[in-house]
Amino acid sequence: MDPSHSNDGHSDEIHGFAHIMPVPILLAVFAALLGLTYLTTWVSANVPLGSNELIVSMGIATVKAGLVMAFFMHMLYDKPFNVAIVFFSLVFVALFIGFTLHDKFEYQSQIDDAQYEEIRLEQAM
Amino acid sequence: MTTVTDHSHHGDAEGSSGAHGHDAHGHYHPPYLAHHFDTPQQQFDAGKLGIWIFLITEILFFSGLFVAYTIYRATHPEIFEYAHQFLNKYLGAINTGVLLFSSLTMAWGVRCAQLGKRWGLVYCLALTLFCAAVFLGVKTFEYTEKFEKRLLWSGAFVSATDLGKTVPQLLHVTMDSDAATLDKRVESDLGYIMIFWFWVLMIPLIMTLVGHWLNFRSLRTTGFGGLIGIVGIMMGIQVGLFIHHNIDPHAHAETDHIVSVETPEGVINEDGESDSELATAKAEHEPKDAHTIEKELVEGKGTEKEIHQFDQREKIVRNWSVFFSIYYFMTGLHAFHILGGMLAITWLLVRAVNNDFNPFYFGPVDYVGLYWHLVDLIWIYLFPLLYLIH
Repeated sequence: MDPSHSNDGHSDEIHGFAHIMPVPILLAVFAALLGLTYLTTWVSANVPLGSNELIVSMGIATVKAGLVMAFFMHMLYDKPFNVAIVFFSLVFVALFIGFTLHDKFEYQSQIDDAQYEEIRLEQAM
Repeated sequence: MTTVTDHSHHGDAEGSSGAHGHDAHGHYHPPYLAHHFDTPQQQFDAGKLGIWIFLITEILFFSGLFVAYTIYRATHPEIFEYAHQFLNKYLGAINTGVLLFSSLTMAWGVRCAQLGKRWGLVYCLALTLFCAAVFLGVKTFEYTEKFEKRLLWSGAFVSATDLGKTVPQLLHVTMDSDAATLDKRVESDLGYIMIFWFWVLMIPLIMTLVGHWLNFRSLRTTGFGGLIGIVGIMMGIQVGLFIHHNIDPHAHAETDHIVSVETPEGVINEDGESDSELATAKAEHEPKDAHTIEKELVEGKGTEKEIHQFDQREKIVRNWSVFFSIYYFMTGLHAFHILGGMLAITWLLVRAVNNDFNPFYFGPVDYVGLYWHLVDLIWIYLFPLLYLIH
């Protein structure tokens, strides 16, 4: 995991302090990303998934995000501390979304009351 | 770790003497190594931690908008199901591809910088800049088209007191879905935008020429970056038009989607040409507001035209424009990040041409690269969330 010690004359490691991504990996990741974009668009147009559609498209997006982070952003080879703080920021995003979703229907009755009142007033006009 | 990193490629050890490059302590410092760092690696790692912390604030910043999206989609799924049909998923897909390609060229550029390949880095940065501009050009087409269809954010046409009324924002759908007229208007708008960019193009052109004459390399490169950006935007607009005309995802749309806006003062319609029918209707009758029409329809007194309009309007989901509020906020903020990235890439381009980077100093390329990939990551999620709803 620590390429800084592999200063062994390999052409991609001409110096020590950051990992250099080989071109074939860059191209392979790009091809995979394009393929997944095509897949998610095709699935959306041709496969009736109903309510699972969101799960499938978010799953594909997450795989794409993982590829970008691991290879384009060099996170596979980054310092564990940098990876950890990014990971925990995503944990906090999950908490943010999760907690907010928790009481999403909490005020629905008040909204319904307000709408009912509005309709009642309109009909009384 | 330090043993590896201390080998400055100049081969100077601590305490060696020379005419320049020494700080007060007598350490050798190459010009790219800031005074307060001991080694290039220390400088690089510090910068990397800094950019990661910035990117984390960006993730949390955008997460607020993702929460807004999640909550609205959870509580009002019908708005998203109704509104997504107005977005062309093929435009979204092509923009995703363009952005992914720019991510590839950026990552390749970082590699070139790490290997000290000056011109490889310059070409990669120029390609990245071009793709960013194409992305914005396609977005220009999308925003213009939505503007002509009046698919705007919540409250774009009404006073605050009208928001959330049962009659959806005094909107109604006109009888004939005249797609050809609409396309003509969009094309005319885009024509003006193209002319605007054509004249703006003169600024970087003059910068490039003046920089060339004065042999002022930074000015010349900045101007060249501007040329790439503007030409990219103009080509992006053409790409948008091409896809719009050749791939129509709305061939089976269930709803007419020409929307005109009725305000208490009358009907807002660009040239007043397509609402002549309505104008005659208004001249014949007392002007009716939406509430009166609805009441008459309930009592079975509406005209045929009103009944048709009412049927069309019934298909419109209440508060549909909330979707577009979210759409414009999310894609707009993302587009601002693209613009910021373009400025940063132009800065890198100038420095790359000036040969500022080498295998011991490529931090700025890496940091801007990380930022650029994050902007790409956000789009990777925005694309399915906004364009691929069913």
